Amino acid sequence: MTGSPETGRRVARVHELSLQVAIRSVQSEVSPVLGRITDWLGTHKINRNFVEEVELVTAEALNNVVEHAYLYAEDGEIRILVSLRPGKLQVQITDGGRKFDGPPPETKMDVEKFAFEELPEGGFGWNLIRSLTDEVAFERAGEKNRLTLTRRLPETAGAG
Amino acid sequence: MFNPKYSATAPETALEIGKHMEVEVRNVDGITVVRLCGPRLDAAQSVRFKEALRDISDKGADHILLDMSKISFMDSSGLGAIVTVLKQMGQAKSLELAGLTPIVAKVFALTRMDKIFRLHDTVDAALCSCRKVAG
Repeated sequence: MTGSPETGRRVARVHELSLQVAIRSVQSEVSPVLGRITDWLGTHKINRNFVEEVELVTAEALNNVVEHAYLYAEDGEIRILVSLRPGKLQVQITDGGRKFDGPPPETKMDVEKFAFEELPEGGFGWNLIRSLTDEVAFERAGEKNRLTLTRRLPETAGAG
Repeated sequence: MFNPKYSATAPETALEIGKHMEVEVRNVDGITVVRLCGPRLDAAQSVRFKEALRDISDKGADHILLDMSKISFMDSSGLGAIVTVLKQMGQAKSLELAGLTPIVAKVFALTRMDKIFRLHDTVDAALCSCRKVAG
């Protein structure tokens, strides 16, 4: 549902749906909040495969915050805003941890070129996020880091 | 821990590796089939997973087949943990995987780790192919 202004007018009647959740920066809080988000998306008839991919990119982003922004300190707050608009799903993650310089440049990691002993055990997170989202935006909002992941929805899915 | 209760049939042991994860181990013709009871292999589980697999490997399992069919979610920490186990076992031993659910298969494909690991559709298919090689 993109393109002409008429369409825009029509879809403007549809509510924007959103879910806001806040968790502490603890690994054990990540999986329950992912469950909450996937349940919510499920109730809005979002396709199962799609929900799984959103769960994965959100997990990667939250793990990054716990590990790199808060350095595993458990008293940090992470706010998550999931919003559904016609044709678009957005996950926005805000944290008050260490200043983040934004996502690393895109690299192609060719694991087949690695010697057995050198096979990478990490560093896959951003590749997965980029592969499964249409847009990755980062901003420093005051003292906070804010990452916004956008994924286009199939036209049949979404708010409505 | 070997549980003598099962010794009359297939040696089997169940090992709790965390609040949400458990593995079942059985030996089939020299292949140690490790079934992850799931449902998640993620950052919260990865350390326990590595410890459990190291224990199994230290007890003499040279060929491990990881049954992933009950894992409905795996993130890159979970994938990293499997790579760690592979490297710890070394090239003389084997670690193969079976029964990947769609999202888990996707993580392997997107990271190209599907080119590093031998992946089987099911545990049965994996055991069949091993027998063929052996025969």
